Amino acid sequence: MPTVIVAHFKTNIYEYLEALQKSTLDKLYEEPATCLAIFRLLPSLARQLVMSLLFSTQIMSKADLRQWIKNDKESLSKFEEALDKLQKLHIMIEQENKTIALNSSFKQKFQECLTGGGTHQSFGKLYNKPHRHSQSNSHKLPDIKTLDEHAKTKWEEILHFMVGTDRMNSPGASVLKVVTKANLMREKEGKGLEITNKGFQFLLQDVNTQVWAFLIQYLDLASEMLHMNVVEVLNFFFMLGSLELGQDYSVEGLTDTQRQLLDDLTNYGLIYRPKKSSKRYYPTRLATTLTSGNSAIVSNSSSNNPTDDDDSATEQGFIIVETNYKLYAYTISIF
Amino acid sequence: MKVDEDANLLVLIIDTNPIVWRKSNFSLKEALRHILVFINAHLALKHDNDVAIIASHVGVSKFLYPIPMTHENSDKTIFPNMYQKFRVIDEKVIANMSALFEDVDTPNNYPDKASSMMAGALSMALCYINRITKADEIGHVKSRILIISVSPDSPYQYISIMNCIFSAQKLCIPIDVCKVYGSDTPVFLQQASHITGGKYLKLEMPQGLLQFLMIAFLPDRYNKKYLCLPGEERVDFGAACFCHKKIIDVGYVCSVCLSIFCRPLDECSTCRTRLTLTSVRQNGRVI
Repeated sequence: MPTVIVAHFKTNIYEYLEALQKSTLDKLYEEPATCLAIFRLLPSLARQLVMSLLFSTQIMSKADLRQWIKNDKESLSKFEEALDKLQKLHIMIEQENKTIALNSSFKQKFQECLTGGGTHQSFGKLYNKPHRHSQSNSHKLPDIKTLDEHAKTKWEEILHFMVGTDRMNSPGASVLKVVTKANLMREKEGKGLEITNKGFQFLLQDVNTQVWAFLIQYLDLASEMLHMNVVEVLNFFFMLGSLELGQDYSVEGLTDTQRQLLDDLTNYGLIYRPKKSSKRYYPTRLATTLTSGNSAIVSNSSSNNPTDDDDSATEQGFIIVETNYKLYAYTISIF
Repeated sequence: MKVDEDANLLVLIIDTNPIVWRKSNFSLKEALRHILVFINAHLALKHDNDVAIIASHVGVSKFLYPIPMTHENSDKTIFPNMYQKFRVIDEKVIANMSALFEDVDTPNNYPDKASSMMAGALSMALCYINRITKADEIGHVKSRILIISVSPDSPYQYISIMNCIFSAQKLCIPIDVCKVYGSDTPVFLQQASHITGGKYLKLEMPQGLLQFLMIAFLPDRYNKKYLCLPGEERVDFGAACFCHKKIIDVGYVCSVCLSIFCRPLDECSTCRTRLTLTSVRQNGRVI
């Protein structure tokens, strides 16, 4: 049976969100950071429709909205696609009297996001106490290079484990659970885990898609086995996407569920903590690029220019197939 | 890279002539609140979207954002209730605009207090866009200019504004104009939006500035293809003569360099061609 390759990380998250109940989505929309992240997943025309209705108090119907769109086939089909996605995510709700309106919770919280109002602390509480360890040499505050190293090491640990290279550290137990549940690896007769077809396809995707696929599987696992609150976990993921790289944030204000997450996320390389019991955490590049789509792993040569997301393409290997069927592969050998 | 994934650069030119703002019922402070939310909305659309803000003041035009940090390093406090990018930009705009208004000498010394330095602001905007476009090798930054105008266009700036408009047309940069207050004449900004493919909108109700901005001026170049946006359809092609800076509808045009004059001249002041008036005499009469 052919496996479906998920081309873009947005599709991943989008399908997961679509499958949620309206009540869960309503709870999700109570955090402005989540509203912003989900807003950015929508197609372009849908985003414009939301913005046009956000501060308006008029009552509109679907026909009214259609008047804003040009009359050619392509525009109308984009409009239908946008409306469809908005309704599936319960951002736009069609009422009984044929009027259409924004979800009131989403409307209010997204307004707060744009105007900076509210007391939600949804964008990450800063760690305000002076750093106790800054004087001593044993715990130096991490700079961006350290964070990138940590993220790269941890994530590649997982990838190498899937491929089966012999390495000293094998990733933690939660990683094993996630990869088996996602059917990326399966049990070999008593000899541990081996990679599946789906796992191979996973390896070929870009880092953002991989991270999200992983996180969504973790979410399923967490809600089934650990009875974690899905809304709180998702809120935390989306908040991570809005944080600043290199800044430390306090664990105060995080719910119990979210604190449980911190350990696992450290193992995957999304978060760095100076110590296990530390009251602060640093998001790595894997976390801050969760919702932006920029390249999440910066290779060593381009580490002085972190906003350049083009360099990773030149560092990767590539494969050339000529019309006379000769094949050339430029890769890095791991042996 | 898909077209709708392009980053958008919005260069916002705000006309801050304090005398004209005072005349309108809508204060600049209130308008700034609307404009800041609009800027946040533009940044919210995509992670890569960027903005530049220029104030067109009396006698001077200045960048409000981005300006290079010289002495004091940026304040690194993070406010958990607001997305960091929004907060940084909003604070910088407010701080720089206050600084701009604190300097009263420049506007006092400038003779023409009825209009603002629109030509200067437009030139700065175009230079900035040019720099950003050259620095962006992948070629996926799409720029546009939005002017929020209250004061009338000065006829003394006719030539400079026209040159800016033609450069913008060559670079395919649309110029949108939102006229919050003030009469339509002179009409250089109307012509600017017409030639560059932007929209000109005169607000009947300035109190609804944010909603007008969101509906008519927020869609980027990609979305504009699919939306019907409000705007003026008729354009008044008035011009200012090069000799006296008067606004004229009928005039004399040099056949070599197309400079406009209100009275017939022997020699064109721009290109020094000798002009003859034989074509002016029709049926033995001088028109």
